[in-house]
Amino acid sequence: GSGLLGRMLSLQVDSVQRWMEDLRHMTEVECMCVLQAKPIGGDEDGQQGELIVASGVGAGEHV
Amino acid sequence: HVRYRMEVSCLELALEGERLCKAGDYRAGVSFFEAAIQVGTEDLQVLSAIYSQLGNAYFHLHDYAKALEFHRHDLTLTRTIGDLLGEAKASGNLGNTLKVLGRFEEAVVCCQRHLDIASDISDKVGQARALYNFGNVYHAKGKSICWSGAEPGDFPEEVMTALRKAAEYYEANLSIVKELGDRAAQGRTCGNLGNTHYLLGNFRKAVASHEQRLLIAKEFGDRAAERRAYCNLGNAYIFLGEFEVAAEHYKRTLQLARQLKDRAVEAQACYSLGNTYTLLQDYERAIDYHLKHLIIAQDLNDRIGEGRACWSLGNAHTALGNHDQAIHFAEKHLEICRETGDRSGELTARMNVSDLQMVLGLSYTTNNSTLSEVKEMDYNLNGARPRISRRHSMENLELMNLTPDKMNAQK
Repeated sequence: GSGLLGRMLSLQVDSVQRWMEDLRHMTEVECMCVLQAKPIGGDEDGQQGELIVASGVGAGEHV
Repeated sequence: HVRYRMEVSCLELALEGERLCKAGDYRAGVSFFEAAIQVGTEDLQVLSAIYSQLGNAYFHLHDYAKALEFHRHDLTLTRTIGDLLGEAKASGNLGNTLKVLGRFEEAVVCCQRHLDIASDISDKVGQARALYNFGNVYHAKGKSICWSGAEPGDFPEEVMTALRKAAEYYEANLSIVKELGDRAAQGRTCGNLGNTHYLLGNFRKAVASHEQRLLIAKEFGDRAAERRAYCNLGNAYIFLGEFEVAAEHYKRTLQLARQLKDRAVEAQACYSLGNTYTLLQDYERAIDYHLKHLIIAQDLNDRIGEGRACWSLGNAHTALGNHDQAIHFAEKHLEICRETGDRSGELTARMNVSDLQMVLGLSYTTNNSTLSEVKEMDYNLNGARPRISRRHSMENLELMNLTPDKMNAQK
């Protein structure tokens, strides 16, 4: 039947092709979440101290 | 006097919370901030900072519902007291949180508010941050849709629209951070822009951005970023059909992964190299790298990776005519697919085992369970066809399907 034919076709997928299909979605991401902090003391207002670079975990990367 | 003492203790608790968070102990930091809120304060700037830091601490702890709650509190408070700069920051943080929660439309509203305030007060740094956040929201939106079962290489229009917007915002960010001379921010944006172009199928542009990212990573001696750039470059060159160049980039990835002692990345690089050498029809080298991948996958107890390695090794040995080796790996592939419940992998492996048995002239009357299943399946599939030949058709790989801009690249 056509089910078998479909199965046959799906078997044509080679290991390299399968790798490339995955690769097409794969990216090594930079930090995707930059949070800004508000210092409690209020006195350390330097721009550098305000920037928190959060880890990319949970930012939607599935690699 | 009593009120004075209470004020001090709220501030003291908050400062201790801040210290703990800076030291990376977000759990403990959270409890000090919560205690500070319990005590209370009339200094609304301090309260705003506590809400903001609590939101960020919960974000680090991956408790995004709580992060959302406190960044919302901060936003409401800053609006009430008319603290524009504080409102801009709160909007940015809230936007990031909404993005992680997949609430992209609301995140966009926050990014816009952040950007509007920064533009109104001519805050270039703030504008750059808002644009970067904007890009990230659209990038995440595009990715979240293309992960949910789209056809490979053929992303829906919605994904393309989101990714195009991401690219626009990253470009806008880039022109500001270049002007500001912020090389670190430039590096980050180049990496993200490169990835966006890659997902859009603009592989030449992806290469250009990742080359920039690589340059900046080297300037900073940031080897993790360097490794990411090499890997992204390798991937882009695969889709440009420039396999030798891809292999060189993957080798640098591998070298850096080893230096950084990242076994999972090392395994991934070996797997990529194995596949790249298969594309180059250098099967000996392919086998060498696939074996390296196999060993690490076994060390890391990564059964799925191990299955992939066996599948690849079986195919490479078949291409070389090493049928004994090929059947060994095909059988291992079958065993692993059964164990991991990979149905399509199992069918592929069975076909491969059956093909190889035919080549090796094995008898079909063996009562080995694997063989009898194969026999039954072949019967159902209406007998044998020259399936072996399909493995020699790698050069016919449907690159066209996967690479929208390959035709331009090849011109």
